[in-house]
Amino acid sequence: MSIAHVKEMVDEMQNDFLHPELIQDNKLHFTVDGKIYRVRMPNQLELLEAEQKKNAYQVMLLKSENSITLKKLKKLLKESQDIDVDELEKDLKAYEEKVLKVYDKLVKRHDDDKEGIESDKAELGVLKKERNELIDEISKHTTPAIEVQSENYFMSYLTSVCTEKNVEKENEIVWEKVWNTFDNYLTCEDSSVKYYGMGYLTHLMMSIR
Amino acid sequence: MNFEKEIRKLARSNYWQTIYNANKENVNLQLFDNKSNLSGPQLVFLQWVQTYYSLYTDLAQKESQLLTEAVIEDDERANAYLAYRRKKLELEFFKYQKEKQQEELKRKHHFKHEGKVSLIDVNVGE
Repeated sequence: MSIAHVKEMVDEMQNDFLHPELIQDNKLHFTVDGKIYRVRMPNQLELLEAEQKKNAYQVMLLKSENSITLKKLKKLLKESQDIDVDELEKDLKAYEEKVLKVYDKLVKRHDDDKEGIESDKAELGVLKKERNELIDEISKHTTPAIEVQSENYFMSYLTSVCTEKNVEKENEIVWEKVWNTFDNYLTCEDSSVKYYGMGYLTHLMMSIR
Repeated sequence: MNFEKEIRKLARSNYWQTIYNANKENVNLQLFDNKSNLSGPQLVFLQWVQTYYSLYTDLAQKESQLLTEAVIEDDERANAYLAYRRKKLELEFFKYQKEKQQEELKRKHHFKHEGKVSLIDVNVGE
């Protein structure tokens, strides 16, 4: 086995275990149908423009007869379908306490108590799954609200601005915008690029806003 | 890909712990390609590098019998230890605050009941 082969194997193992590209710069790369795309962090100007677009959209929705605020939607859901979103949100907070109780048990386990550790981890897994289901449920019920709609609009705008595709040119790596304008983004068909672009951008912007 | 899992794995790696430690000693090694406009994962990563640094410091100083190398390498066990440490620090802080309040009360009580104040006229320059 040559040194180059060993290096290749080590590199491959590193790639399996570590993903330095996650933090190397403020961009995330992804592939769709064999083509390479990336989303980058928006700059301050783009964020400001996105906020302005969001505010304008929110005002438009407020003027529209078919839109509803989160507060009114919660009231409507409670009265018409007996769905109490505030109560669901309280349940969500209660999960934090439940998780802490399991942590109290887990922290006292010795390294050799493998069975106990696995049992606590399984319990945590169930709690996290239930918590995620609850988040999905709340999200499903609150989607029609103006606040949620305008937040989606904000992220859509930024996705249209910050998603780029890799274009092959000789001896050069070129990145071009996937959608030339926001209107172009809104009118084009739903695609995996849109889906992944927004997903990765949401991830890039976590803990920022 | 589980982002948080991967970010934590990177943050506790020997490579990044060394870089972080060197920067603490004012070596000023550049961490990322970008110098500004940090992304969410970069910020989360920095928080975890710092957290793992504190855990390795606790381990080296034998702060707690509950902390071992295996605990640090296991995300859930590390979470459990961090929750325990936070609770312990909060309890210590409340205990300190209570003791401070009691001392303050004792001091006020002492002045009210036992302290006597005398007034003496002093003529200067006569």
